[in-house]
Amino acid sequence: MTTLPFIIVSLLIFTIGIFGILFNKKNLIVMLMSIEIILLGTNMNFVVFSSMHGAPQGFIYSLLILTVAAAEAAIALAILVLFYRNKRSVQVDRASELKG
Amino acid sequence: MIGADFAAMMLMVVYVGAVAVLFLFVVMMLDTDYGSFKTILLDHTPMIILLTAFFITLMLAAYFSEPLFGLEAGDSALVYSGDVIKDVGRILYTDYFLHFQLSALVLLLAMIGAIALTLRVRGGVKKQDAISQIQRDPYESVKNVNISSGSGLKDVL
Repeated sequence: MTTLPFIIVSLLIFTIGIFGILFNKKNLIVMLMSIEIILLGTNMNFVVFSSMHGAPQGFIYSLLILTVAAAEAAIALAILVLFYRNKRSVQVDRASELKG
Repeated sequence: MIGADFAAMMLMVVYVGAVAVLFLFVVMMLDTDYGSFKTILLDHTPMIILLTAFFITLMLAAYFSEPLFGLEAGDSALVYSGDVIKDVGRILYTDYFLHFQLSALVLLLAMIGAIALTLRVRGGVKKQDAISQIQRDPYESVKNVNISSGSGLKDVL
């Protein structure tokens, strides 16, 4: 009953998210998806270490992270829709002005 | 197995039911190209290797180290009793009740924020206005006109 494979999988998910942000400098949607993947990896990490140490607080934090991830996705996609309405594009380099 | 069936179910429900559907809607709604995945691999290779090594080291250190806070059985009331959902529920509704309520508040704020951000009042949309319809006066909306023969309706309308 080892938890090492689970840790490796969560680490892989986390790293995939970071790579997604690093490799993709253009599309805002893909960046948001990468952030979601990072949050998922973190979440899984919390669960695995919680299970490993026998402390259910990790589950609680995983639920909190889940909430924050869902809220963040909703807000970010709303902002994205607004951005698309103004600029007709979701490229990051189009977001070059603060006011407007 | 690590006994995380509840967390697995929770993740599935939330990510498939909420996040994936949300992303799907936005991807369908916005017309965008995913063509250019020009990797900037060469510029970032040292950083990527460093970052990955850092995280791997961190995880392995966390895995092989002793837990910092002692969680021997009997030390804490939060130690598993074997029933994960029961434990999580008991803690969630007692010790972490404030966090629970605050996360509900976060979700509410996110909902209101998303609606307020994307709401817009369009001009030129024909909508039924019940109040003005009810308050309309029939004596002012209909008028009798005498039309002399042969002059047509042009002046009246």
